[in-house]
Amino acid sequence: MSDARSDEDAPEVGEPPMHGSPPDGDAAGPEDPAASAGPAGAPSGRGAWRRALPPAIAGIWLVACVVVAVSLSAFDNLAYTGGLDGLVPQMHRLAPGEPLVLLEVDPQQLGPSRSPEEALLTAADAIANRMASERVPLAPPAAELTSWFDAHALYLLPRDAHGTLRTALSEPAIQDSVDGIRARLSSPMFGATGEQPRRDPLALARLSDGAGSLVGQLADDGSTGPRPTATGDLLAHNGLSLLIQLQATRALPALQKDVADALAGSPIDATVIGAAADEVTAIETISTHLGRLAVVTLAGLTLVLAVAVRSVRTVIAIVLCVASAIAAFTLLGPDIALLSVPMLVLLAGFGCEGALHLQRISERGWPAAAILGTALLPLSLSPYPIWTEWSWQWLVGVMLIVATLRGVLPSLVRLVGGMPTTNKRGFVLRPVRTLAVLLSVGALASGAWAVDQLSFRGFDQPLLNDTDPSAKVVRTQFFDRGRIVEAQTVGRTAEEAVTRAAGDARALAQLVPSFATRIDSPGGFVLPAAELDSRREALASMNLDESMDILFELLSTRGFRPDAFGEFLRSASDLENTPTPKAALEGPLGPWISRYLTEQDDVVVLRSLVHLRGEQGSIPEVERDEGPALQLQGPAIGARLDRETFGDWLGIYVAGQLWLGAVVVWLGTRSLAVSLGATVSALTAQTAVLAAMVPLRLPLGPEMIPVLLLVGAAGMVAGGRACRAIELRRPFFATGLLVTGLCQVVAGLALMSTGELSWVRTGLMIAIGAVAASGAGLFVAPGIAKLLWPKFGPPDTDPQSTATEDAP
Amino acid sequence: MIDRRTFLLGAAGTAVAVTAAAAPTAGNRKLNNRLELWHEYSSRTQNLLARVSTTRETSLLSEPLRTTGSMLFVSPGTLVFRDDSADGSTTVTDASGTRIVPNRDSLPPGPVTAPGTRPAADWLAARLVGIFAPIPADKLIEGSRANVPKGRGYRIDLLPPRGSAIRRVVRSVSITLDPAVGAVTRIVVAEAQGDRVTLGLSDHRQNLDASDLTSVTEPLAQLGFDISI
Repeated sequence: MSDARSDEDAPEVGEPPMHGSPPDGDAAGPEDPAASAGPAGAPSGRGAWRRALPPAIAGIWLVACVVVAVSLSAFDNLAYTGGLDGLVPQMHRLAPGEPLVLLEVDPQQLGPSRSPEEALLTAADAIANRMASERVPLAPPAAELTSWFDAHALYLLPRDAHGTLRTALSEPAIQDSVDGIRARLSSPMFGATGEQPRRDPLALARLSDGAGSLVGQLADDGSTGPRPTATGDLLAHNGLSLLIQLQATRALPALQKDVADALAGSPIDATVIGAAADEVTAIETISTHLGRLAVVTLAGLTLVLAVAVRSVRTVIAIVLCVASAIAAFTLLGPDIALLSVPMLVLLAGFGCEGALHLQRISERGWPAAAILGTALLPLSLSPYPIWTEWSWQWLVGVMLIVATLRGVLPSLVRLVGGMPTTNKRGFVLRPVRTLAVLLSVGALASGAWAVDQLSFRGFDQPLLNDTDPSAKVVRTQFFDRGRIVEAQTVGRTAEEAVTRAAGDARALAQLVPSFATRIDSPGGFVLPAAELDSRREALASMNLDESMDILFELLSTRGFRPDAFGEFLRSASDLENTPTPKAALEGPLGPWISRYLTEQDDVVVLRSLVHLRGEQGSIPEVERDEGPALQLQGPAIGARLDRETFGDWLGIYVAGQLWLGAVVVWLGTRSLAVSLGATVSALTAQTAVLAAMVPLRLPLGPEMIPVLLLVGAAGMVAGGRACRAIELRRPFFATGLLVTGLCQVVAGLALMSTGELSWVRTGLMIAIGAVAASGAGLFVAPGIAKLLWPKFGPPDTDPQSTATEDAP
Repeated sequence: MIDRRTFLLGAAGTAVAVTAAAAPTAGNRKLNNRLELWHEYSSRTQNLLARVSTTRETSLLSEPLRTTGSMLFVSPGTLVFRDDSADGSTTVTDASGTRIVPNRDSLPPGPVTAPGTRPAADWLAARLVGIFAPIPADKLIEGSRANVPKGRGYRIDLLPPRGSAIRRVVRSVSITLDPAVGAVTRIVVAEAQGDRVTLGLSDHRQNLDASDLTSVTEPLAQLGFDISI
């Protein structure tokens, strides 16, 4: 505990500086006009131009503010972008998803004679008629798919099953199959168990190994999944919602209008769902909260600054300077994304301390600004696009705020007659080495433990609150869009792409059921030429004609009507009707298959969709018979890969930030002890935050990296200042330290007040981190520095040379 | 001034109108009567053994399939249909699902339908078991639309909820009751693809000792079904 015991010259806690120790605001050197925030600077004899300088600076600033304000409001230059994929590396981004239309019906709004399913199908037809060129089948049309499977059932059986097939086609086996059907027909439950003797009297489907997983969204009658309609839309199992797929490049409002016009007067509710709709929601979220967030943040900062700065005019001048700097940054910078909003708030919270009179780390007061500005530079190594941008944007923002506070604020304060920001309360820090070691070791240990305890929140997780009921319906009744990844197969033509996809689909099927719930690929319905020939040869050797004759005979003698099984009898023995890619593309399944095909640079790409399971875990490589392993693409797979190396990279980012900060402190102080003390203080604050996240059940992930780095920067600045006060044997002004931390806490609380979960998490971590950084700066850094001073020695210091002026 | 007679006539008329409005309709009354009759018998059932004659009319066969056998119900939820003939099958529905097994070992069994995998199977199994179970009358019609078809006989039709996926498999389950004691004498299951299964029940014997049921339970045990009485 820092000892408040005073020596004969040091002030007691809470007492103003004693005799001979001028207020720190007054100790600013006349050679450093930026250090003075008020009339405390000795009037120089530089003449008229010096007297005219403050009004000129203030005037220029005012004009700039007006220009910025007009640009932002009158010309609507404040551009938003949802940025929902801001964290997703480019290599894992999928092409913008095609929009879906969700139709929902409330049975109570229908008449007694109308069923919900009937109403939904009618509405789907209306949309299909109006948007004929944009509507595509989401699933293979039910009747067409059934026909395809029935016509090619034997070809689609894997080679491994041919031995069992041969046995199943023997006369005794056929007899048993037929007798078994007749025996089971007497059960009242027979029709509900899913047996379809017409299509498959010999139960050959049981020989296919997970062929059902290849059929995409198909769910046969009676099961619990969605069911394809006759036109290829998906009908939910409960019959109360229907999903339509669109392939459209038009803007969202145009699509919504067309859908609404198609359903005019209908009791059906329609919602357009997809990436474009999500972006619109994100933009609406930003525009809803941004104004209020700015007001709350600035009001909070005003209140907090008033604690340290007794002059209301000075406080207002500070807040206006910070606000104008951020406004200019917003105007000149990129569009505001969802993840940019908390960064702007944090800029205000962290930048405010530049207006306070605090102990400097170096004479010129640049280290604090440099530590803060470079805090996010390690993120330039990260794969997260938005953080790569903000690694240097943060530096620009800090520089803008510092320049405004140093260049404009003194002139403003002078003009409005504000009072300097003087600190009248201080105490002499007496570092306690034991306490510092205990706190730092304890925090480091708990932080190391916490990293394993914290759940991981990958960049595939949604950034917006899950309040959209339509999105929930799609997720629960149909599929989870966030878990879909894709594998691309390339061919020179569509036929070639489908042919290659046939092998890829079978390779992907290995992922079911351990890692995936289904594979949605047209490749599962066709066979490549070589495989086709091989299977034809094998099937030809099985005397299928003879087997079908036996079946026909047995059906007749057992009282069955053979014509009821005509489709099977014909297709099973017809080896000329083959499931080739060409036949699939040119047949009734063609329109559905074309949904998976895109032309890019003279090649045709077929996308096979894989629905991953929700559990986190690495996905094994998908080996193909020929060629390299299949690469899965998509945020869901990228997040799993990211999780494997996240811990290591987090350490690299933190180490980078700590190293940069330590170098800055050393350059500013030439004291290795102070540098290391500040570094330990920073790391203590960061690990304390990690430990605090465990009981609060906050997840760790890419979203939280900047917060951790900024907490480290705050801890380093606080620690550097505390150590410097001790070196110079000057009182340490607690008010300034508290206000610094409180400004950051205010930023955190402002974010938490929005209710947006992503921002709430950031705000909570910052609030905790600000407190931890202040504490680490006070109690850890000085103790560690004191441990190291005997070895590295404190540098020479001139108590007269450095004032407690504004920093960074 | 309204005289007393007018007032009394008006009040009486109003009371009749209100009572009539609140009174169940004729259709509801019939349904309630039948449910009450059914409940009188079923509420006493701990186990029930009956003879069953099954007729399936299906387009798969050139003539309807007719079999005879036994039906065993054991409270709370085990139902067995067993054909007498070795060429027939045994259907067991209980908490673990529905299994249809040919009586001849060499013949392939049907797929096991576990609860929750096929809504139509769950619904039909729940109706068939519920028909014999000692449950409240409202539980019998829970999850379905119930009505009384026109015509003679004490019948109740149970239909799947409107718009549900179940209707793509099962259209209705019709129950015919004995007018005297309320026992179920006939069940007709109409399937969506056109098949129609009629189960005629006779020789009902309620609450037998385990020893009296060995003729049914022993063959079941040989097929691998353990039925506890």
